[in-house]
Amino acid sequence: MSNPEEQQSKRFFIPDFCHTQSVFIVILVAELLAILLSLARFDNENFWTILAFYSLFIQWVALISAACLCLLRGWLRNLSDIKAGTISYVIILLITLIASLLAEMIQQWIEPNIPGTKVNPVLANLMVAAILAAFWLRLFYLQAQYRLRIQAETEAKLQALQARIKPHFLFNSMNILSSLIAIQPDKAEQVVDDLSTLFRASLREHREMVSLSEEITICKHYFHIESLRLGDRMTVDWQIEGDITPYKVPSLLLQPLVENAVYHGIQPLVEGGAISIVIQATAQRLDITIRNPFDAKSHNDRRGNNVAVSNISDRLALLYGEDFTFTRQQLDREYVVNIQLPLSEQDPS
Amino acid sequence: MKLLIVDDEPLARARLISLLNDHPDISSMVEAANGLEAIEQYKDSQPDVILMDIRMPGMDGLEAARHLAQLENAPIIIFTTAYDDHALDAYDLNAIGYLLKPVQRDKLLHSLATANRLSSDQMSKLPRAQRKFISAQVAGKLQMVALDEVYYFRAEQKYVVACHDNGELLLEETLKALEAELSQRFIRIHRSALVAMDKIAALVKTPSGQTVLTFSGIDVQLEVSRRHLPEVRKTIKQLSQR
Repeated sequence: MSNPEEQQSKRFFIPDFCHTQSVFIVILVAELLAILLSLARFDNENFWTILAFYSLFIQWVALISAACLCLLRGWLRNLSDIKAGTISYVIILLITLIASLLAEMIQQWIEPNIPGTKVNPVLANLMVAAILAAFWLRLFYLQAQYRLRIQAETEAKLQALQARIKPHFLFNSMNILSSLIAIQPDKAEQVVDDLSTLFRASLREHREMVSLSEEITICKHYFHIESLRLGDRMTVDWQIEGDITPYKVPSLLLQPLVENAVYHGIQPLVEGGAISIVIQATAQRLDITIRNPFDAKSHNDRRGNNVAVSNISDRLALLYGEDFTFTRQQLDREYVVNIQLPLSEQDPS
Repeated sequence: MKLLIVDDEPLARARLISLLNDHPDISSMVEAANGLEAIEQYKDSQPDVILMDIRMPGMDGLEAARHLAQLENAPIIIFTTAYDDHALDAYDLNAIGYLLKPVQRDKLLHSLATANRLSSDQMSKLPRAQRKFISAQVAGKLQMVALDEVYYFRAEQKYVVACHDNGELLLEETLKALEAELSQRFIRIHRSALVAMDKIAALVKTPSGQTVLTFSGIDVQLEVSRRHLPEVRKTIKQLSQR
């Protein structure tokens, strides 16, 4: 029984042309284009006539394109960005083609005697449409990417802060400290050290890359606090194979995942269990697997966890594009998280 | 005064013990790590007061308190809890009083001096929806059965009998209350029977025209009343589709 969670949050990059505001902007931009093209003719006498013709034609194409994109929006947003972009592009070109052919026919019908100009007007229209549509689609895409990035970064920051200042973690740590100060003051000192390491990490810039070994150290500090709290109910098994020194990972990549393993895996189990973290590094790729026992029955609250998971997946997508995998699997009695990353070229500084 | 300290975190227990070590009125302190262990420990050591953490794996403190409260000389229970976002909002804890962790010495001593048994009114405010065990007093001792092990509840004249893996348990609860509480996992098949959905094997028609329900695991047939038959069929169908 496997149940890999699909968590691709869909954010569609093409603006919603069903909105009056967008339609207004389309009209405005189309009109600006008409003015621009009319001015480019350098024909003072016929300027207004030319503008009228251009306006009519461009508005026609632009509004029908917008209407089509509005109607197809529901379908397009379920496709990949590349497919949706290509289809939108083809639609705009088709509409331009049809409109141009119709315009040509009408013109022939009204004034059949005017001989064809040097440049085929249908082809010229198509070229203009092709260039402009490509430009706009690219612009929309970049804008959406930018927005996504800002959003993910802000979320990551906020979330990391909340993760550390998460009331139960804070209060649990305070409880541990107050117990230890009386019983084992030297261990209390160590917990203060663990806590400050964790707080320092969560206050770091979120775009920052840290060495994998640093991230592992942070996880170990975290585990130290939790092992004091959970006693012998929790064991942690690290297996590191290969040379991890060249690998850098986004700061706080693993810690939220091992925290999930503790809170959702070990803590609800009376008998506790073992968390296993296997890291395999080759010359090109890094493979990290975190396993924890999981009892679906004793479990009713998984809300907090998905926020952390989707945030990690967003950050990885920004850093590595398509070149990474991040899977979560809930097996019968076990929860497995796997991350595979390429050797990153990015320099942190 | 004998004390039982219940908390899943060893350090939290250690702190309470260190706070109360030199208390002149306390003759002994024993520990337990969850609700079920607490009930076991209670049988052995018969404490006067239990310091009970609320959030624990397995059986939590509130459920343990509810089971213990059935006893004739129920112990005094003082709850302890760490701040735990909204998880505890649902429980009207003000009705029973509790100590916040880390527990402060004065507050702890004050509660020990003033604590009373939970009144039945307070008990009724403890959550009823999430228990994992059923319990009954048998010859003065508390007998616990995990709900997972229960095949069905059968109403007899005055009692409800829970049939489970290792026999039967007489409960002083009504079938109606059980049905209301356990509707997620149990289904009414007859005026006098409530059945664990995951233990159902099949519906069988007898030669005499009755419909009976069979179980996986035990050789028992229970009659399904005509009134409940459509609902039972629907549930079995949904279960088999899962």
